[in-house]
Amino acid sequence: MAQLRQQEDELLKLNVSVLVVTFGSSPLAHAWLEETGVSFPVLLDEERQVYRAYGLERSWLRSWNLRTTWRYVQLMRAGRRWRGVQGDSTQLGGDFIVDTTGIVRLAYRSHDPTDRPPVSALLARLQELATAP
Amino acid sequence: MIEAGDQAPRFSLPDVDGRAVSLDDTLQGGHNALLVFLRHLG
Repeated sequence: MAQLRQQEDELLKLNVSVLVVTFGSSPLAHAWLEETGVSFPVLLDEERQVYRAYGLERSWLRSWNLRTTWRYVQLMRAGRRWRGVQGDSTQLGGDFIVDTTGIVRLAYRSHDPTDRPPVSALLARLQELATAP
Repeated sequence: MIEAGDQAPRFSLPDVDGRAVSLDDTLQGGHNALLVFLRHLG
């Protein structure tokens, strides 16, 4: 998310709206916004209907492994406050690009919580869309 | 399962201040949208 935030100007130039969806509660989302400094709209999907609509699964096995634990350690070292694991720790996330006509142009579902598409790949796809006739 | 080339499921959700934000409104502004679904790590 920090990498995406650094690309805010580029995203603006490409006429991209970023919507961040979370299954956390409003107080948690506020705390997260404060800590990360993210200025994108954060939408609350506590019932996870939209997560389900986009085929984002829950998996205990894929959520808790060494990589996830190590990522938590890294975040704490970087100054993130430990709040315990909030909400449903088995919910997996993903990234989707939707064009102006409402068609999905990129669908990426995380294999585990540490798995995110490279920001460069997202930008490349968005650049293609911006320059498409 | 939604894949590239499919119609994106439409939705409207409240933001942290309680205002409804819909995918359609976002797209109607002529913007491509990047949807980031958080996992528990944020």
